[in-house]
Amino acid sequence: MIDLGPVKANEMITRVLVHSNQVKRLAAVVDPKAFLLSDGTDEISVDRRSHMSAEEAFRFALRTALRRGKIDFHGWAELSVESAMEDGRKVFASPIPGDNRYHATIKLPPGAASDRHVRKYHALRLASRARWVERPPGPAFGKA
Amino acid sequence: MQQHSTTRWLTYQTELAARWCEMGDPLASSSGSAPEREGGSPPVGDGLGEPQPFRARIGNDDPPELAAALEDLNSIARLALEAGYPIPSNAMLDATESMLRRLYGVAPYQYLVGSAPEGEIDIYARPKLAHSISVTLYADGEMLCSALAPNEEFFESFPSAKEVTDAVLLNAASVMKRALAQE
Repeated sequence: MIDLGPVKANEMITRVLVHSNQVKRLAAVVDPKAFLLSDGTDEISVDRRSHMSAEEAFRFALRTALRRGKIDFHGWAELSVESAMEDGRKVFASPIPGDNRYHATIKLPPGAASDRHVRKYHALRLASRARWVERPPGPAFGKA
Repeated sequence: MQQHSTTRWLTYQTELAARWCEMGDPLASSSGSAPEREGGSPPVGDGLGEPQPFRARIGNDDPPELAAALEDLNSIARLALEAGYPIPSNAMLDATESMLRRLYGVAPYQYLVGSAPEGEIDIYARPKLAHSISVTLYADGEMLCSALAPNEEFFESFPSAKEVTDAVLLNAASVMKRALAQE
């Protein structure tokens, strides 16, 4: 597996949106739920979009959807590493050997895992910085 | 999987029926300038005893962007069910409708309304990139009000809706207005 090295501030990262209720009628707006963690967790899974081709981004997103029990996905919330690192958050490469070399993690500051307000705060901040990217039409993209 | 969904749907219907029984006439406590529910009486379902889901009171005088946000409320239960989130009670949806109208009154942005994994409901607007204003209603009654911008922020929790006064909402609205004016 090729090591992509540490994440850089000018890289773009994406979070795959698989639930229909994360997708809103205002096209430009990313729902904060896209970044909202459940109780006891403080790490948000993302992909390093700057290193992926469009086809890879699509394929990995589809795989994420399948793992979450869905047959498709709706799109991505995309933001810069620089934005993701504001407010005390950390972003680091966390490749999954043999599976996803593009994987990275946004880690919330200490104490966030046990405080729903802090988790909400970071979800709001991240969503306000993110751009909604709609899933491209499937068939043409899906071909290897 | 199908069995699981069916069970959840039946549970949802049972919960709804129980809620109607607990609540009695929901119109008895309605207030403010919101239009009356159609017919002026509680929904009666299909005549076979099945209760109807929550319906927001959308009036002809409601601005289109407020009406659209109110429409979001009508699909919350279905979307929560699909996502496996707790289904908000009708009382909570009523409270959300009231809060949405109050918030829109002082900060008229394009709001989105939706439920979240722990059963809370978010009223959320992003007037501009990196700027957001929101109120979150938790199932246990707690509320969170925020106005976040790059150089200014208001973020405060309240034990109940009573504490979220007009002054609190005005404060959030003024933070957002000021932040937007600076850029």
